[in-house]
Order: sequence, then C-alpha cells, then structure tokens
Amino acid sequence: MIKKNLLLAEDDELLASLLDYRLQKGGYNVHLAKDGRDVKEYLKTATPDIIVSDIMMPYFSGIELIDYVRNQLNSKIPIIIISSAGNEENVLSAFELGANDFISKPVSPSELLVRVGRELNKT
Amino acid sequence: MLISAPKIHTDLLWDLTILFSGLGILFFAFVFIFRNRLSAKSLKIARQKKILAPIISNFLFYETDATKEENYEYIKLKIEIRDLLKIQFNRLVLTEILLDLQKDLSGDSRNRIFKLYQNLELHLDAFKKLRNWRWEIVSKGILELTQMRVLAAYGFIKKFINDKRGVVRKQAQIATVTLKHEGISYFLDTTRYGISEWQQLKLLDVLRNFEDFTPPRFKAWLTSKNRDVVLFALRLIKHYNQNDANKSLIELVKHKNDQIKSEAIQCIKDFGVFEAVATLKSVFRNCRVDIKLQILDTISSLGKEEDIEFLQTLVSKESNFLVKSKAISTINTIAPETYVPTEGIDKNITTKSFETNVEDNSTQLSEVMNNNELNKDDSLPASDHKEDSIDMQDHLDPELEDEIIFDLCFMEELEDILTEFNESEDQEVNYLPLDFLPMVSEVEELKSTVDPQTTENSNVESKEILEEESFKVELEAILDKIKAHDQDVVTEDEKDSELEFLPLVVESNVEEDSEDLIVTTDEDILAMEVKEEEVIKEQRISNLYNKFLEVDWLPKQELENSETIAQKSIDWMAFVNESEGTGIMTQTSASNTSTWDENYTGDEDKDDNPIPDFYGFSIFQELFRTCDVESKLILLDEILAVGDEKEVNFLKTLKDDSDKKVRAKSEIILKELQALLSPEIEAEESIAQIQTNELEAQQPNLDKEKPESISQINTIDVSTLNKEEDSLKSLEFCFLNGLISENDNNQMPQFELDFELVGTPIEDKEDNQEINEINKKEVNKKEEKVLSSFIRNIISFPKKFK
Repeated sequence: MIKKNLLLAEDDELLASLLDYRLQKGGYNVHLAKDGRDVKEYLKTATPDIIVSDIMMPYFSGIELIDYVRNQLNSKIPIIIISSAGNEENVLSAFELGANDFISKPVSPSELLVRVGRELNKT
Repeated sequence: MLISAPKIHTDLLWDLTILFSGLGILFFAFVFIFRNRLSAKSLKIARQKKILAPIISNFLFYETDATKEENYEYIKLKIEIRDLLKIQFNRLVLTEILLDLQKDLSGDSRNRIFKLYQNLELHLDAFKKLRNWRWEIVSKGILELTQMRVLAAYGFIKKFINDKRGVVRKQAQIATVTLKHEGISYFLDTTRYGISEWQQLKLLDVLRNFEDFTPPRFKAWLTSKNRDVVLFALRLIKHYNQNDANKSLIELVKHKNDQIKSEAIQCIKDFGVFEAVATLKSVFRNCRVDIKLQILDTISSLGKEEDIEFLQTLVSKESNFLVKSKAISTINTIAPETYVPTEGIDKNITTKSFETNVEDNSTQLSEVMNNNELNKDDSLPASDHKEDSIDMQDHLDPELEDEIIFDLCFMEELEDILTEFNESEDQEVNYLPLDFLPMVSEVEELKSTVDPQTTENSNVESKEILEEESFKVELEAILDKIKAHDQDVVTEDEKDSELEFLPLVVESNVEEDSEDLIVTTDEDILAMEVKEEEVIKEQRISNLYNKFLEVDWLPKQELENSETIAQKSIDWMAFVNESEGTGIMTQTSASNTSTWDENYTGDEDKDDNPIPDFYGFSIFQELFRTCDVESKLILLDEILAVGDEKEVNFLKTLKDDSDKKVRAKSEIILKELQALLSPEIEAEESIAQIQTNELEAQQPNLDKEKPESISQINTIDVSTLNKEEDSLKSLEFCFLNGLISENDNNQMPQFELDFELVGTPIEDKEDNQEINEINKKEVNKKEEKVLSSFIRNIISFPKKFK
C-alpha cells in the first residue's frame, strides 16, 4: 500500500517530533517543516497529499501558507490547521481562505490522525 | 590670591587608567563567558532534546500489540534511557521535555506523559527541590509536581499553605486545590493568610476546570475568622448557586467589611432571600453609597408594597441624588407608575381639554351604541344600555392618565412628522408613515360595530371605542391646525397639494360633528375652511367607494373575521392612496374615511382616477420605519423568504431609500420575489384588471347590478391559463380557472350560497330617518370595512384553499 505524503509545518520541534512519530506510525510519509520558508521550498519541489500546519510560524504564517497554496499554486490539497485555543479570528481567516479542517492546541495526536485520514478520504 | 590647580601625580593617573580598563575587560570577559556558557548549555539541552524526544515519543505511543521489532526497539530504548537517567543533566532535559509536551498535548497522550514522568522517577528530583532553602527552587518544585499531577506530593505540598514566603505559599495553595478535590476544603480550613483577588480568580479557575467535581457546601466557611476565606466562600456559594445558607447570608449583611457585605447582598438578590429585606432596610442607613444602591437594587427585586413606605422616606430624606433616584426607581419597580414624569409637562392644558373631549365623546359613543343595539336587538331594555355606557365611563376614568400620556406622545410624533413633511415640500413624498395610528383600535372598533353582542358585554372593547373617539377628537384638532398651516403655506395655484388627504380626515368631523366638536377644540378650527378642490378629491374617492358598495355579494363571514379586519382596513387605505393617482402623500387613518360623500358623479373619476393595481399592506413596512440599515438588510432576506405580492409593492418603494445598500438589495430581492411570485402576481393583476373593467363599466350606470360585473369576469381570456400544465399552476390560477368555468355555466354557488348582502345598512340608512348622524358615521365605517374586505376577499380567497 502506497503511503500518503504529509507535510507537517510546526515550529515547535518537540511537538513536531512527537506528531511526526505518531503520523509515521499511522502510515504516512511525513515531511517536517520548521517554518514557512521550509514549507514554501518544499512545495516548489513536491506536492504532498495533505498539509498539517500550525498557524503561528516564523517568516510565513499558516494563513499565508493557505493563501499561497490556494491562490498562487491553485492547489486543492487538503489543509488542516493547528491553532492555540482562543485564536478564533485566525481560525476564521484560515477557513475563509480555504482551510479544510482545524484542530486546537493542546493537540491530541490520535485525533489529528483521525482528521488527516478523514480529509484524505474526502479527496 | 591666585588659584592654582592641584598637583596630581602622573603615575596615579596611569594607575587609575589601568585599573578601570582592567575592570572593563573583566566585566566583558564575564559577560562573554557567562553568555557562552548559557548558550552552550541551551545548545546542549536542545541537542539532548533532539536525542531524547524520539525516545519519549516511542514510550508515549508504545502499544502492547506492537510488532516484535517495535517491542525490541522499546526494550532497547528502555535500557538506554536508564543509563541516561543516571546523569543529572539528562534527567533535567527529560523533565523539561515532559513539562513542555504536557502543555501541547491532550487526551490519552497527556496522561501517558504523567505516567512516564513518574515511571522515570523524575518526580524524586522535584521532591528534592521542596527541601531546598531557596524559595524559587521550592516554588519550581511545587509547580513541577502540580503540572505532572503527582498526587503523592499532595501531603508534602499542603504544608506550604501557610508558608511565610508569599510565592511558595501561593504556589502551594494552587497545588493543593489542583491535586485533589478535597484540597479546596483543606485550603479553606487551614489558610491563615489573606487570599488576594488574583489568587481567588486562579483558584476559581482551577475548580472550574475540574471534571466530576462535587463542590463542598461552602456555607461551612462563612463562619471563618479569616475575612478573605469568608469572602471567597461567598463567591464560591454564588458561583455554585448554593442557596442553603440564607441565615448566614442575612447575618453577613451586617458585616463590617463592605466587600463581604456587598457579596452577601448580591447572593441574597440572586437567591431571592425575601426574609433578608428587613435586615437590608435596617443596615441601609450606615452603608456607603454603593452599598446603598446595591441594597435598593435588591429591594427592587425582592421588595413588596409594604417596603414602599421605607423607600418613600428615603425619597423625602435622602440627600444623595443617586440614592434618591434609585429609591424612586425601586418604588416604581415594586409599584409601577407610582412616580410619573413631572418635569416639563404642562398638565393643565392637556388634562382639561382631554377630559372634556373624553366626556363628550363617551356620551356620543354611548348614544351610538344604544342606537345600534336598539336597531339590532330590540329585545334588550334601553335601561340596560344606559347602564353599560355609565359603567364604561366609570371604567375609563382610572385610565385617563395613561391616555393623556399616550395622546401627548402621539401629538408630538404627529407634529414632528408634519414638520418634516412641510420642510420637504419640494420633494414628492409617496409615503407618510402614519401606520402607527389606529390599527389596534380599529379592530376593536369594528368588532363593536359588526358584532354588537360582543360590544354590549365587553367593557374592554367599549373602552377601546371610547379611546378611539377621544383619539379622533385629538386627531381632529391636530389636523385642523395642519389645515390652517397648510393654507398659509400652499398657494392657491397649487393644485396638487401635498396635504390633499386633509379633508378626508377633517370632513367627518366638520360635516357631522362640527358643532359639538368645535366647542371642544381650539379656536383655530373655527377659522378653517375646506378647500373646494379638496372636496372634489374627496368626492372622487367616495365615488370609488360607492362603486364598490354596489357590489353586494360579499360574504358576511368575512366581515366578522376580526383577525383580518385591521389588515383589510389598511389595505383599503393603500388602495385609496393609490387611487389618487398623483403620487402625493395621502395616507390617513381608516376611521377618517367614514363620511365620504355619497353624492358622487362617476364621470369625474372615470377620466382622472383609473383604478390602480391593488396592493396590500406589507408587515415589513412598519418594521422598516424603525430599524437600522443592517436590520433592513436582514429583513430584506426575510421578505424574500416569506414575502408575497404585498411586499413587491413595498420593495418598489425602497428604490428611493436613502441607503445605497438597501436600495441595491431591495432591487435584487424585488426581482427574485417577482420571479417567485410571477404566477401569483399575474393572477392577481388579472383580478385587479377585472375589477377595473368592472368599475369602468359600472361608471355610466351605477345602478347596474352584481351579475353584470360578474359577467365581465367571464369575458377575461383565460384560455392561455388553461393551456398551462397543472403542475405549473399556482393556486391563484386554479382559483381563477375555477371561477371562470363556473361563470361560464352561469352558476355561482359559492357566492349565491355563502355570501350575503352586507351593505344593507346603506339602504337602512336611507329609509330610516330616525337614525342620527353619529349612527350614519358608524354605518359608513362598516361600509368601508365591507369595501376593504371585498378587495381582500378577492385577493385572499385563493389562499384559503391553501
């Protein structure tokens, strides 16, 4: 069975490492990006099946990432955003720009895995 | 005497230079060394974290059903980490990793972190910290144990609750409450120090986030000697709605501390402790102003009429304006309208004129009622009617004050509208917002006239009629003023006066009641003269009215349907306004159209006043008058959802709305609504056209009878309608087709069987010379309702099948 490619954009290395481990264990090829620049570089060379991105990232926020993917790349890759609680405005902006789903911090890795699977099943 | 500079030895200067340079170098060297050391340490930690994080991940997500390889990996890592844990630095890094992760993770992963922390025996390091002499280390240790939910630490930490060091104490308080549910009880029992507001909020937040927490009965701590404990307990009682401490709460109202007093009063108000009112009144005098206001607020919620005396004493004796005002407001809350507005109200003028008018009109009305009842039910003795009228008048008196206020408000509003109207004389105004006028009264009035049995037994309805009459007198006076004003403003050459509607209003009183009413209204009325052209316009309208009266096959039941009467009357007014055909504002109340001249020559109307399309009154029209732009936009959406042909006309008027958004949206909604209603509108327009044709045909000879008008309906070419598929037909089409097919057979079972002649009072009026003028007016009103109900009947008839 071919593993799906997942781009995980998260600036917190510990959390990224943990989620990376969980998602790999869940059957995905995970590419880690520690900030927005990494994401942009990666998207120039590859097209993941799904993107999981934190909203607050250095250089290039999750909102800008969604805008970049939807409007510049004209891609319909499913995007799941991770945001801290009480960040409703950003979450709304993300949905307006075309985010597919949202998960709030503190994150439950099992829940994230389910959401990723659901979004990929939709496509 | 010369001043000479002191001699400083050059060697000393050199020595000082070297010293300070050396100190500077030393300082920078220290900074450099410590900075490098710190950054090296953080780098080392980061590197170690990268090494340890995968191990932690593996431990966190290890499952018992793992593969052999995974099990092997897991065991290998376990051995590895045991070696790593021997080094203190690794223990520190692992603790940091776990503390960070517990903030970012939730659910099962988080619980696993707590377990892992204790499995790796990292909590032992935290316990060691508790024994440290430095307060910041102790505080860190407490925080760590609290965050990692080490329940075993509860017994150790609670000892710090009364620690002398403030930070340690506060950390321990939060830890005690967090670690165990019973921690809050222990904390409240034992704490000797004060609890700051911030600390209380944090503790409350901790309690709020507990799952399956059963709060203790906090009334137990209302007896605490610690003032802050009592205060916190009161807040917790309020938060958890523990209303079993009424006695303690009442006692705490007497507390010397204002904060406790305030919280206790708030609890009393929230829990509705009625027995506390007496205590509240007794402590009132010695309280601060803010507490006094709070007490009054509580009394307004819990107080009864016996407390009004206390409040009135306050009103008379209290010097503080805020307290006095609050006392008045409290009295009005307990006994509404005890204090009425007095400032700036000229009581003499209004009260006198109003009382006279009310008496006059109530007398007139009782006569009208007596006449009506005598005509319709001769079996009733006349004395009974008189008693009724007397009762009505007696019943009216207590309401006089409310009526005065209402009329004052009404007069002000009407004058405002007319002022605006006169200011915008140059602009063509299509709509005068007088919708607020007699909608409710109209219904009641019609009830009383159409159904006399209801009237004779209902004081409420009678009162409404009296109100209507008194209102009319007031309206008459105002409109007479308007007329006088209009005569000054408008030149004789202006044929299309903007106040053409005036005679319609004035006429009923001028022609019929003038002698009586002139006495009661201002002297200006005596100077009033109705313009000839106004009378002509009035006659044109009455002509239309008379033509409709020729149609004598209206269902009587329709008249008795009180729910639709108000709507119908308004619809009729809309029709009358449009029948003017000039686009000039002619809106007036239905009651003012009651005395139209019946001696009309139909030719005038034929040329000048073609009967327009009939549109009903949109309920949204009233709503639009008062709402803001945003609400209007929302209402427009609602119009699309629920609107019908009445709203189409209303939407057309919105094209001239001052707001661009409303204009734009109304056009869109209009188009969409028209698209939705197109079959219905077509049908109704056809009906309206039928009516037009019918009336035009009737104009040469007003004596023509109903069948002829019905025959005109038969002439409509509806063949196109019949061709349409049934599935596409609206109910209106079905109705129209049905009607025509019945007419083709010269059979009108619906009309012949179910409908009665309702216009009989017209004939009665001609025949019976004994009926006085007031009775005529009542009959005219009824006819007007008949007319409006006729139109409504035609339009709404298909909907009844729905």
